[in-house]
Amino acid sequence: MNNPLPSHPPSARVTPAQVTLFLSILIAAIVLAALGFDLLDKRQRVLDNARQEAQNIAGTQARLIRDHLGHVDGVLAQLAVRWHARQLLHEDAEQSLRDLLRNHRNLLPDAIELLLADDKGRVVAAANTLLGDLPLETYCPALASQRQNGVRQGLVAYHPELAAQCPASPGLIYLKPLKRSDYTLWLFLLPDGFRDNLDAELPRFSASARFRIVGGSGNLLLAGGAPPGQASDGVATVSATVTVPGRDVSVGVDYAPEHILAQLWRPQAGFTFALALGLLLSWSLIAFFILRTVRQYQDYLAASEQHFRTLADSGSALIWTAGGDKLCNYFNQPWLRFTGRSLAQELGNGWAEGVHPDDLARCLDIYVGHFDKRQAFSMDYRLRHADGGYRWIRDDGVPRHDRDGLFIGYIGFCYDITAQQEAAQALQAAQSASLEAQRQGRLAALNQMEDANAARRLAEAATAEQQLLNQRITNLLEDMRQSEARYRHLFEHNPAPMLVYERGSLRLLAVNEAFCRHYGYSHEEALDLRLTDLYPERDRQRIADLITRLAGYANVGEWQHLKKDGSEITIEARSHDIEYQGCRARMAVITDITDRKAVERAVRESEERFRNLAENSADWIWALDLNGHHTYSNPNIGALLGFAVDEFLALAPASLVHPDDLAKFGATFEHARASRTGWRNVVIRWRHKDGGYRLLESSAAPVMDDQGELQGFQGVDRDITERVQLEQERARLASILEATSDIVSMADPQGNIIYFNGPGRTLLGIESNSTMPDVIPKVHPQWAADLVLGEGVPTAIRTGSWSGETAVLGAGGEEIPVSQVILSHKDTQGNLLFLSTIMRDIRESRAAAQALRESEERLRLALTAAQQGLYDLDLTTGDAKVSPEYATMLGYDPATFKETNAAWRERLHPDDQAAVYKAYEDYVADRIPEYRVEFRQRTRDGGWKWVLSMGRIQDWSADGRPLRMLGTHTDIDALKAAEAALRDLNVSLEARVAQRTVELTAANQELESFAYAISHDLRAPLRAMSGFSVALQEDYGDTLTGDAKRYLDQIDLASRKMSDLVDGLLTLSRSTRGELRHDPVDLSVLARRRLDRLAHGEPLRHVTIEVETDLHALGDVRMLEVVIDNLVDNAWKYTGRTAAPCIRVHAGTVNGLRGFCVSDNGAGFDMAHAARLFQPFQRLHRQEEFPGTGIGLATVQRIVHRHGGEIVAQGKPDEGACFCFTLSASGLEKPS
Amino acid sequence: MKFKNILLVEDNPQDEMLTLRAFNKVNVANRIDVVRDGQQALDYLFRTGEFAQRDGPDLPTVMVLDIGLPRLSGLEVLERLRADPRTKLLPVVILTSSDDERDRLKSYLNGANSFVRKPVDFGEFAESVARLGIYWLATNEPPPAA
Repeated sequence: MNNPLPSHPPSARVTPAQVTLFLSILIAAIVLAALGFDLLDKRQRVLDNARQEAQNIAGTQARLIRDHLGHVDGVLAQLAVRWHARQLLHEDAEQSLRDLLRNHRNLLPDAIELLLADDKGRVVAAANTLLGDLPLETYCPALASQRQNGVRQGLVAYHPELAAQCPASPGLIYLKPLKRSDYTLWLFLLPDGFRDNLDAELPRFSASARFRIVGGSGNLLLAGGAPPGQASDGVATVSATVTVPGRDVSVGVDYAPEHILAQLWRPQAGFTFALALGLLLSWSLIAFFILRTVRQYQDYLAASEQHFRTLADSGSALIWTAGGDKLCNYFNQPWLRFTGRSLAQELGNGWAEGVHPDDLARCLDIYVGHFDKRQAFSMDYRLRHADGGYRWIRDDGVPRHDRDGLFIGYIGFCYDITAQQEAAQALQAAQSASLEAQRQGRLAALNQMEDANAARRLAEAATAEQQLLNQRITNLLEDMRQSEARYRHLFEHNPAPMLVYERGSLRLLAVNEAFCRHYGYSHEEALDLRLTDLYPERDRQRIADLITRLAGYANVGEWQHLKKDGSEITIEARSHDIEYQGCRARMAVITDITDRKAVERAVRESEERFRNLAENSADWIWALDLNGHHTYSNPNIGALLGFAVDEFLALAPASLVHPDDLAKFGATFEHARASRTGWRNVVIRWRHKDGGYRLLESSAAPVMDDQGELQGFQGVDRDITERVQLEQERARLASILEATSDIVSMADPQGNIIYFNGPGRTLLGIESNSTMPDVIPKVHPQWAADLVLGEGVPTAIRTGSWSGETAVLGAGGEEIPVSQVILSHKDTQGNLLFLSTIMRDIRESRAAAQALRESEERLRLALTAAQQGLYDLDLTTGDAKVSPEYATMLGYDPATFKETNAAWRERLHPDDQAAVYKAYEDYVADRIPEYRVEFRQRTRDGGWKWVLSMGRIQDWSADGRPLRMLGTHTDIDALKAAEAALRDLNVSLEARVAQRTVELTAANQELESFAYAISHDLRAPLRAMSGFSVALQEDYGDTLTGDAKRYLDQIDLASRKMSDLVDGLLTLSRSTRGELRHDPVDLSVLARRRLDRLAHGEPLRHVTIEVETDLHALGDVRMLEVVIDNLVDNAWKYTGRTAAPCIRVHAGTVNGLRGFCVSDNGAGFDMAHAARLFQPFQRLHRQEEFPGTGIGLATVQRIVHRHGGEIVAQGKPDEGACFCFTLSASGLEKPS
Repeated sequence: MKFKNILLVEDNPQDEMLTLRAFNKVNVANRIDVVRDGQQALDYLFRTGEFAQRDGPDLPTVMVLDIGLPRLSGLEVLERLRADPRTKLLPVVILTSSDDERDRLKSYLNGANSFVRKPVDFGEFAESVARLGIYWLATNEPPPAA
């Protein structure tokens, strides 16, 4: 708005009025445009900010709802699963849900209600409330219709306050009904709780915004915030909507940033609009004035703001201002210096970060509570200082209003009142210091301390009050510098005496009421005084000189003043320059500190007395506050625990008490605090500065204040560490004496026994017969007593100790040999105090020594008998100790034989060395469990002797090297000889077996060749004999006569018989040859086939044949065919002369096993000859009766035997025969 | 009538006489040549050695071969014949006293066309020989000439 103002009249051709009008219109247009743009621009920024804020709110709510619904889902899922599981168990659905709801109540947030409703809409169970048997509509009237419409999932909105806004859906919000059999589980969000939740998140929500939660179907689910119409106010409303991801819900916010608009816009906007209207209507020069007014107004505002800031920043008070929205929008420099933070950090609610956490809630309560009521407030709280510590601040806040009386926020003034607060605390601390009266001597100290405490309390109170007052005064002075009017007011009504004096004359120009009251002068009298009149004669020159040097604010310190009545008081004075009634003057504030000084003096003296007493005490005297912190300790803490007093007071007792004693310490303290008593002789371990622990015995008494309130404890501790240690040491020594198995006894110099330990009493049987030997001779048999008294005791007294072997008398009077030590104990002057003795029963060790000797003897005998020698080899030197047998074994004389490792190696047979050394190394390396080797040693006469050596490493060095080896040598020459013989025998045996095998193989081959030759070469001649005899008959039959023909027949007959024999022998030989196969064979089929062929060959014979079917066997089919053929052929042959022949092939038994039988009712045989049946060429019938070769049954038996079976024959002459056989040990076999 | 001849390989003169007698009785062959060991048999067939100049057809209609032969056994002879393209298809009947299974198996493995055991009984023997003569000379169709 840098418009040039017309400073000269316009030129001639146009009238000044015209020019003025034109210019004013021009200017007005420009101004309007500029203001308009400016307005629009600012408005836009504010709206943008508001929109952003609305967006933030909506986002926060959306997250809140999402989390909330997520939790609800989780609960539902859990409940559904558990309910389903219960239903699977066929439990009563309703009861199970009742239990479920009851048991899982804790799963549900407060804002959720679970209801179980039946089909009729009756609520039968509820989780949060026990409403009993109510219809569902009680909860949600709209639900009935929803339910009837088959709604299973959806959202209905309700909020009692907003019922008018969503009339279609009153009731409750429900989610995801779960349908199970006849019941429906309804889960409700209780909107009240939900609403609270939302409101808690954003306190300013309700004042400036409205929100709404909308479901996917467009239903309004929940709304809240400012009532409609109030927030919008015709200025601006911005809206934002955020959709909850994964949910059918969105959150919208309408935000009306009225406070911002009101604060920043309203005055200027209204003003500008009015101005514009005026311009438009008047078209006049008023525009100039208005414009100027606007600028002046703005300048004034700027200057005023600047003025305010300057004033605010120059004082010591911490100042803040807040807008109507409760948010702070200004902090002065002192505040920022105090907190060490930037303005940006503190703005809004940033300042709250600096408030002590313990004080914040209270502060906010006061702040918000008063703010809403537009009331001034004053509160004390701790504010974090730039140095990191907290200071107590008194914060006085008052509402601010603009010139029109509109509320525009608060301004606050804060003062550091730490000193005051610390004084109050010091007072408390002082009150809590007193001393326990454990002893008479200490009682006096305690009384002294009580006095001291009382005095100090007074002093502290006075000091605190004084300090508070001083502070106030200082503040007031500060303020007064800024405002004369305020000076005056404060001056008149200040409770402290105040005066104004002229610098030059020192005449009093003004005094206040308090001055008159305090000094006893009337107002008029006072104005006649000079300042120096108030001082005693002795100080007047000094103060006059001082005043000439004063400039600005000054504290002149302590002085004596005279009252009107001449009495002297002690004061402190602060003063600073002012102009008063046109004169250079100083205003002074006077503080009467007479009482304080007196009290302080008394306190000092009292405390001095107490401290002298306490600090000269031999014990540790201390005071504890109610928090268990030491507030006082006398210097003895250094002697006890090694800490300086200050050092100790800075430490928490819990960090010094032994961890195991902490509970005891805490319990003692808590009990004393609760019962308002002290404690006595409580032993606690405290950590010394050196890290060790000291046992302190503590006693304490409670400390009460004037009102009888418990303030803390005072007490005294003493170090009992050494006492306890000594006691423990003594107990330990006694227990050692009692625990030892030796006899320990003590006697006085006269020989009277004064102590016998437990084992001694037991050994001597003192406990059983209760006659304690009173003098030394009674303990020992006569000879031992003589020895002890004659030699032992005198020697011990002379040299300190004596030892020897004596004896004591046992419980039954028997003599018990002992080794005895006698000691004499003398004091520093060499006087004998007492004698002690230690005796050890040596019966067992004597017996053990005897047993050892006998054992060694037995071992020696055993080794000799076993031809064994012993060696004990020192592996570090190679020397060995050996037994006599070791030497004699090798032909040496034991008396002169000297064994070393080297000598042994020398004697070792070269062929055995590698194996022996390897065995040793393997053993040492633990690769084999034992060292056991056989080797040859050269004997003395040059021969070799087999030795079995066994050994064991007995000692090992720390680094794992073997040190010593023990072992035996055994003469195994005889054993070795026997082994060799056996080996030779085995070798020759194997050779013989091999030879035999070769021979047998050759024989077998020969036999085979023989059989082959028979088949070829024996048959040809037979065929020739048979053939040519036939040819002779055919060709020359006519010429042959009589016997000639018969002879030819005989030749033919003989050749046939010979042929049968050859065939039989071949079969027999083949039955023992070749591989035996195991085929499934049906013997029934074989027998049937053979019999059929026989019957076919002799069609005239009528034989009854019975062949059992399915006679299955496992064997070599060719050989079994031979068996069956032979048996069946025999049966056929031997029934040749029977009247009604019958042949049967059937299953039977052989030696209890199932077998196969061929039986007939033919010629049979005499069992007396049965043994010959199966021998080759043995026949039981004459050839002319039943011709045969005598080879068939021999072949059959061989085949059966080869199969692992047996064959037996039963028979009776002329009644038949029965041959039964098995094919294996298991008898009849069935093919699989 | 086509000329038919038989080569009989038989070292036993008695068996030879009896065999020839049996063949002659049925009168099937125009001519019967007899050799007495394996080598002779090969020489005869391949016209080598003592048979280099022999007359008559190249190959007999059928060859009756004993197994137990001097010099080369019947099985060896058979093996050689089957290895030679000229005699690969020559009908060979083994006529032997052996009833050894191994002989029978080897004979067939080596390509024998028939295996006949000589019965000891002459009647049976004569009948067997007569039958095989009729079969191989009259009934059987020889392989086509190469």
